[in-house]
Amino acid sequence: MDAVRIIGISRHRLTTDGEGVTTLVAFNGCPLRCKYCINKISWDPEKGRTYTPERLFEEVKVDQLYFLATRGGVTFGGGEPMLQGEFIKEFRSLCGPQWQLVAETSLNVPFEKVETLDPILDGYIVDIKDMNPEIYEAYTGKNNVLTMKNLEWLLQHGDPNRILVRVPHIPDFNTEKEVKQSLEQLKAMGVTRFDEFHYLVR
Amino acid sequence: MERGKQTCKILKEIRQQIALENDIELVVSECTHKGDCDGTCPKCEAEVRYLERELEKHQRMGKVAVFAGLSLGTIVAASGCGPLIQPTAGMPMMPMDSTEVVQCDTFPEEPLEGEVMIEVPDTLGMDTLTE
Repeated sequence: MDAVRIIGISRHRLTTDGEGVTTLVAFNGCPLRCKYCINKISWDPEKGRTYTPERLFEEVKVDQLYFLATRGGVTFGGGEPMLQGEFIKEFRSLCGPQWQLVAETSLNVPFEKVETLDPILDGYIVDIKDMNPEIYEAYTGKNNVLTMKNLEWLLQHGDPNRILVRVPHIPDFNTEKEVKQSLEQLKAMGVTRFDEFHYLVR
Repeated sequence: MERGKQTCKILKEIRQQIALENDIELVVSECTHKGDCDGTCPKCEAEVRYLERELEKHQRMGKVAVFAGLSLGTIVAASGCGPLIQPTAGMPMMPMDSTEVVQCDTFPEEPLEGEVMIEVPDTLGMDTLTE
């Protein structure tokens, strides 16, 4: 397959992106334009270094022992990792079933991408932004129709515990009350794991 | 670079546990390095490679490698390190400008995910790749 651009790799993340020792792999390319994005290099298609799944596997497998011993693995972020289904699929065929593969995603991607990757992935970290469509669009520049559809589908097709939903307090975009509303809506949808936190604007 | 030393200590504990579970003799000497610690170094990496070789030998002899699912929480406690700041997934964690997966420029002050979280005093430094 064609190589894709990866903007960063971070090893030895401890319990940050999953249970064990993980390596974060950040892809170039994102459908959103979040107001406080500090990783804007992912918006520039020319940024990053090109990788094939084989090259990435060769580089990250140095930590295989840690992955196996702690039930860790690779967390794909970005950018938007769900746009890289073929790459991740091929990567899985190289790393085998024991590594935990997690996507840190907005889920704001065509449904087919989610459907393709779901059998490959062990978990999701979903940055939901805000459940209010107006707030979401104001903050990201895009509506959350796909996000909602994909999240609903994931909740109905598999263990909800594989999904951690991050619910941020976004300065100047949502209020405490609106964050609470988002949490309530998500609970009603069947989300079981949350990470409520604050964005810090610098 | 206190974070790096903490990471180093935890990874070392993981290596020791792997050795213990698989009957591999692993003599770990105390790190005397005084300067910046990246969480890993050639000496630490050499220990990992040594473990891999020993496990391969065991496999050739028909033994199955044992990974009893080490709990990082337990290891952190055993290593004497304080609790990790970031208990949840997805949050920027510690500056990891240390890790040398690839040759690249680093931006140690830049978190990865696009947002900096108030709860996290340190930001994620990741290896940012440039062509």
